[in-house]
Amino acid sequence: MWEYIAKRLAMVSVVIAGVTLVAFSAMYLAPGDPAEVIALARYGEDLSASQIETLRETEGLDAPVHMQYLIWLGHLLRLDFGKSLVTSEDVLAEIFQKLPATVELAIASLLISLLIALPAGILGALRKNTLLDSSCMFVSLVGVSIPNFWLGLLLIWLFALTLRIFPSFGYGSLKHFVLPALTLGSSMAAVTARLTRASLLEVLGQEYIVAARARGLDERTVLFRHALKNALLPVVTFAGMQFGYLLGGAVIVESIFSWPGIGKLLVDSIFARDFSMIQGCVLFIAVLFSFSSLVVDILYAVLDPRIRYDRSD
Amino acid sequence: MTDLIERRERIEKAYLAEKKLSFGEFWKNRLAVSGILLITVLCVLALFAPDLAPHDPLAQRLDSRLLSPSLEYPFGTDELGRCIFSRVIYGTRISLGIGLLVVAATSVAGTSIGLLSGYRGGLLDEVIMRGVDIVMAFPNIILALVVAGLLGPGFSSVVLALAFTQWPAYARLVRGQVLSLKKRAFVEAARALRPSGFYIMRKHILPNCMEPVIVLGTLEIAHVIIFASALSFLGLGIQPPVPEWGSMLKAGIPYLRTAPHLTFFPGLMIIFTVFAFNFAGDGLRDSLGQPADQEVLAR
Amino acid sequence: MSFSLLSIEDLNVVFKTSKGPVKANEGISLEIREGEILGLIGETGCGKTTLGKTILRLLPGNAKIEGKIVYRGTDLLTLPEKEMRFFRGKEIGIMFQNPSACLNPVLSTGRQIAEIYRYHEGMGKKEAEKKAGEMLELVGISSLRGNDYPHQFSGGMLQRVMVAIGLALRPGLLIADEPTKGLDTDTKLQIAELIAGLVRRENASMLLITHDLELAGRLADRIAVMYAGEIVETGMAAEVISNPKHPYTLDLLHSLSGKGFRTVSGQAPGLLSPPSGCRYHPRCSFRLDACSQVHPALRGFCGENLTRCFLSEKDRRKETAAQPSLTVQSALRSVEEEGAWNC
Repeated sequence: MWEYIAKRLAMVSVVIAGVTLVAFSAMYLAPGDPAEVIALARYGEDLSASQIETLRETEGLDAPVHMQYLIWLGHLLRLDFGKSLVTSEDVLAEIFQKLPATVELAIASLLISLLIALPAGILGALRKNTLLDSSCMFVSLVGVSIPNFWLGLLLIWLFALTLRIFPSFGYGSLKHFVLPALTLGSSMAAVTARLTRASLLEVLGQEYIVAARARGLDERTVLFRHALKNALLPVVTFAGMQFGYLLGGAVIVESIFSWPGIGKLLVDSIFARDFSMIQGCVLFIAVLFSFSSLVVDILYAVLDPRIRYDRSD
Repeated sequence: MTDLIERRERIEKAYLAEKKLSFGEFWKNRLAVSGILLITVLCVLALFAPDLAPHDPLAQRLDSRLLSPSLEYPFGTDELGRCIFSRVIYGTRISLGIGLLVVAATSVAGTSIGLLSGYRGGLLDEVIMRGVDIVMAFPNIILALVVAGLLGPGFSSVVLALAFTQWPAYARLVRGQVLSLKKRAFVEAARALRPSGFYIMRKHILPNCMEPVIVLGTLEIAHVIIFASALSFLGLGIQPPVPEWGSMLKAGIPYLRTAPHLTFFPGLMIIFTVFAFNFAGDGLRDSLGQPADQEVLAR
Repeated sequence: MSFSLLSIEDLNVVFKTSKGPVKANEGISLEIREGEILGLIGETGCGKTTLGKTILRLLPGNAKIEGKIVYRGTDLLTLPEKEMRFFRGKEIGIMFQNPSACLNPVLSTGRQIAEIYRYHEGMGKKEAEKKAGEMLELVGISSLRGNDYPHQFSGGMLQRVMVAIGLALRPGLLIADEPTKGLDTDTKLQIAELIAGLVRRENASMLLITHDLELAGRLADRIAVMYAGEIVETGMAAEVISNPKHPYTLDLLHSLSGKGFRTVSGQAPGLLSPPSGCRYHPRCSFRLDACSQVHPALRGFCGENLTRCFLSEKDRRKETAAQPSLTVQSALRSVEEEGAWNC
């Protein structure tokens, strides 16, 4: 087991190293001279050439590229992500300040998604090909096709503007959670429901389910103890992956609902051309995503003994 | 990380199994056929937009702003008096254009990379797969956002950004196919007869990879269209006055309470388009089935 | 004369498939007596596994079952599902063909055996696990391995686990479906003797389903031969092996290595549209015209043996030398009369 974790960690480290390279080069992707950009952000439109040159020296932008990378990497390892070009605040501090909001939204969305998807998927598999099943599957097919930004706007129009039950933006009370979590959760639920149904159907067709019935066990025991334990494995993995994605990827929903999370921070800093913040956010999100994938991998190993143990004959 | 994607593939297989069990023969065809029908409608809209649209999509009529749907303006008018119906129709050109362009580019690039990686193996394979892992280490919106944001708004940056994030899927898929095909007997036989790797890749392995790539490509068009709309919605992609559905949605937000039709109709169009491609992709997946069983032994 | 434990009367099993009805079992009548081992022989696809599963009503939803299966006086086919569960595992145990596919991969083997005790006999967790350990020892596996998962066992050991599960509640009848499939010769012997030994010890009966004629000859008291969904011959094991009455059995025996390794020509018929008349006639070396037109019934010989063929042994010996003399009329008459033949 530990061997497995060690191997995974090694791979993740390599990937993260590559991620830092990508994040670093973001600066150079943008058209224009980085020094100019920083100068613009700091001093505004009224620039002089000498200001740019001084900046170039002080920011170390005159060094060769690979040197700059290494220096930057050194800063990273000391957890110094630099300062925002706009607010001059510490980048990492800002990120950590916004992190809780994103995490909370991710958890809420995941819960809503599972609450809808699991019963729908399980019932769909058990009542295969009935009206209930076909309609659920049709609804989920439509659900997969709805972009979450449109769904968000629809929900705002319906619940916030027309019915005035829930607020359409902001953060603070439980009420504020409802619409954004519903938006994200419903989109996820559509996919998860289909997956649950497919997985359960596959498991129910296996020999060991028949064998379990052959031992005289009743349907409930067969379902919960044998079928679901196996069928939910890929669902758990998938949900974990989705959660990791939500931690950094819910940019659109956060923007629509003005949810003060990392996603909104990133979008705002892109518009503000705040390069340090962009780099910091991107890096942080990627690392978070990679580690959540690692955790999901480990979780799967914990749940599925076939991965856990080597074959010992 | 690779494990997760293998698991994803297992998940996909389970999904396939479900499709085969739940829909009968008739349905299988119905799905693909109706999807393709819908796509044809979309293509017609895109190609014949000038003839089908009642008004000029860019023409502003400041005296007819924010009108509700009527006979003259079937979808109403937007905040600058432009006919939303016409704009939605012209928007088909943009979205389909982006979708097809990105998918064409990524499928070709991704397939080639996957082919090379899977067939050659060794260090090249490891390096390429790490590259894939690195690209996939970012939630794809984030990557596309940053690239589009840094390159500036516009059609080309959207295409580039999306191409950058979407190619790994094909590479992974094809590589997996190649790896399992490499072990099959007919490839061994071909190698014995004519060892040139390139020839084998082209004649024997590639044809057997095509079906899942086609399925993925179709579903990816749907995905890319949503994605592109999302970027425009955030303001980072196609900018107004170009009639792109996502940016139209964004423009409608301030009028959400008073004139919801600004956001409603473009959104419906996105759903319709995505639905069409999802339908077709699902149907294709059913009728093409698991490709590993068919041996297309080229002469 | 020991009394009848399980009596199958005129069983028909038809599967509804997209390609048409598949007649997996047709007109099956069998009897298993108390304390005896009945070997059910047949090639793959002849319907023997279906028969085994039908006894415990483990068939999928598209199966239509007709007939009677009487176990100790109770017709299993008419029982409500709730009561059927009582028989499964407790009165009648079953061992499936593919042991690695028959165990839940995420539960340890010990717990899967223990669950039988907890469910049927209401034992507590610790007690059930102890009993499971005893069961494992009984089949020759260290009880410590109860904590291991199915994928950690070899094929032979998994078969033993299957035996443990099948016999956990000391059933009166054990249905063993290909218990030695895929094992090497030595392991085959070990497992076969293990199962037979345990069954005999409890004075239970066993339905041994296999394609291995030698194995059946070694272990079984009586043998029934199945072909294309029908029983074509039954009788005392020794008699069937040494003196088969049905051409199919004869050909099967000749295909064994010891007796000449002559392969049976042709292929087993699909059960979708079996051949007309006698189902074996396309491959039968004694085939006559009548055989393709009239479907023979099971006829008795002197003693216990029954066979589904128009020709008696004497007739067969005659036929190879002289002209075919069996007309369709006399064949039809023999089906109607169902009298005993001359020995």
